[in-house]
Amino acid sequence: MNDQPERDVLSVRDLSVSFVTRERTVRAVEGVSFDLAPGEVVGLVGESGCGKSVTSLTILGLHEQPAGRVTGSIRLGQQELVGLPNSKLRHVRGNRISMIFQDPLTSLNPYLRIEDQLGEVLELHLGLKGGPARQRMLEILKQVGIPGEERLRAYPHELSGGMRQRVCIAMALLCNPEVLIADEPTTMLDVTIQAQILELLRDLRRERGMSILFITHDLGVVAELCDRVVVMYAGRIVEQGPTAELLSRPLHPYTEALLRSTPRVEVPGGGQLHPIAGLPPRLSGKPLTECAFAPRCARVREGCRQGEPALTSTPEGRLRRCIIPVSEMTERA
Amino acid sequence: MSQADALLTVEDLRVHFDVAGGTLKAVDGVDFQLFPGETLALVGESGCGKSTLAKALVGLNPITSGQAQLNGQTITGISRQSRRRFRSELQLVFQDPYASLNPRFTIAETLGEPLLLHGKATRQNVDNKVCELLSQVGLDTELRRRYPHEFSGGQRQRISIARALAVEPRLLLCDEVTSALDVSIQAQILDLLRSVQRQRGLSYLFITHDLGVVRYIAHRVAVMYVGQIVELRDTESLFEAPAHPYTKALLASIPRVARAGTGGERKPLAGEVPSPARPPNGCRFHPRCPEVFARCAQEAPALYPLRVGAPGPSSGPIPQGQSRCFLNE
Repeated sequence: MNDQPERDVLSVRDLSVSFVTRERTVRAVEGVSFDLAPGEVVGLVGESGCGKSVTSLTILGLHEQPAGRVTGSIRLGQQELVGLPNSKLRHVRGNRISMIFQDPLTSLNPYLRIEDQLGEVLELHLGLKGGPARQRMLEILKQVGIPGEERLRAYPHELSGGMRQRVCIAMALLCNPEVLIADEPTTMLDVTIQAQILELLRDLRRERGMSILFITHDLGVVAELCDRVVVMYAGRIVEQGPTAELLSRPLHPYTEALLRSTPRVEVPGGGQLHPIAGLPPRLSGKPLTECAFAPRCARVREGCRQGEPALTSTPEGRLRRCIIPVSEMTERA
Repeated sequence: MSQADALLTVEDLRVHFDVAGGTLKAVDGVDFQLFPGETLALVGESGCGKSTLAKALVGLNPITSGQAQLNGQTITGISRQSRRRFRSELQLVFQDPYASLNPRFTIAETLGEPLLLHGKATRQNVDNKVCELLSQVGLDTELRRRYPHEFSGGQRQRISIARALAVEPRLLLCDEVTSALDVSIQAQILDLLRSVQRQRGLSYLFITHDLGVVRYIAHRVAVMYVGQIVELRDTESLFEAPAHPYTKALLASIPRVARAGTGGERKPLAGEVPSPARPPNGCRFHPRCPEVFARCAQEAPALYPLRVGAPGPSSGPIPQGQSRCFLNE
């Protein structure tokens, strides 16, 4: 995608989010920057608490109270979203960016039939009612693989988990958004259904040229869907690069460790598992005095303790936050 | 190994529930054996009956027919009183360690209670025993005065495992024990389970939907679909040469790191798992099966032994196993 002259649809620059509670300040996201090109699927990867979901919720201004303190910039095309009042942000959400979540049942109103859930969105955002609205609903449901009018009369509980996620995707697509943010949308689904939903997302990207920010902890899903990957640890980006290269030749010890601790279904005995010792750090408001991964890193050395490494670029344009020479990282692979 | 060597023998087990408009056959005629020191994985998608089966084995679900024997003693259809005797032989570990630990008990109390109740410790030596258990699961013994909320998810799962081990069971039922954990922590717990098995000669009935985990931890695998076992194999031959079309589809749909850059080339299995309240006629997989033929819709296949010469890995002995498909008849 690098050779395309098109502008990025979404551009996040130096984004930091902190939450202040009575006891302490938690800096959940620290200086995160990345771009999403038209029609590109970018995976945001990391373990619980790494800041991937906070990043995505910040893009949509969807923090729960107490709201986080946000600095930096999030640009959607020409429009700056940081600091935008909620009334204006509401117009952006749904129309230009949509989001789907892990649990489709909590995203759907249990008291509303599918036609009413979808109808509400159409009326609110596009002013469509009656026949034209119905036409649009049927069209979109067909696109997400739910054919037939009878499903419109169904309540969410009457649908399977996979069908519910399809309805959520339909709802997200109603206004033809430029960007879809998908937060672990297949995590609760069975593998055969997950494969169907991934296929659907790939089709939608191909047919509509939609950009997708895909948040997940599953490196297998990343491999099959994403063009580019952003790996987060302790609120920071530690590595970023094209999917195939990053997964086959990780340049940060954390990415390497994640891959080495994932059981492989294609390798006899599930492969060798190398657990990452210890736990991720507790995030505080204070700046780090060492690399965030140093306490758990198998390749740790003296220099790692002397301040936090910067995010630097390799000649091929990959990014990594590590002082170990690239040649050393790639030797073993 | 012969029948007599089995630690757990399950015979034609059925768990049916009455629901509006019929009977939900959650587990519908399951047979298997589990040997000492062995890990048998029970895999399948939601609603295949794997968790219902595990709950039935510990008496949390009523059994409609069939039976299970532990060490030659029947453990199904018996009174709560007599079930007590088996509690120390058979323990359960669940997915969510927070929900299964008492938030008002310190770790010492959580581990001490079963030790005292089952006579594995006395008031005098219970603290020593608690420390032994904690170090066996890789936790600092200093932490025993703390409460569950002070621990991370992985540490809590270690505590759940320690509690299950307290009564010195021979069989551990592990129901999605690593599903709620991050991969780096999951790997720690899987390694812990392996080393505990080596030290104590424990058997695991390991229920999971994650086939990567299965390949890492299991010796044999039972694949379930709508209440029945459709394939029962030793782990490596199942992954190298699956016999049943459902197993093949299941393995093909797992996203793989090695497939980076080739995404979107495979056709996913169409349709969804049917409801166990209305299983399809004939083979239960036939409406979704890519290899379906006329007979599949009319007759229900039995669990056929995979004959010598059946698909197996290119080297090593030809594996035995079972498959519920006419193609393997």
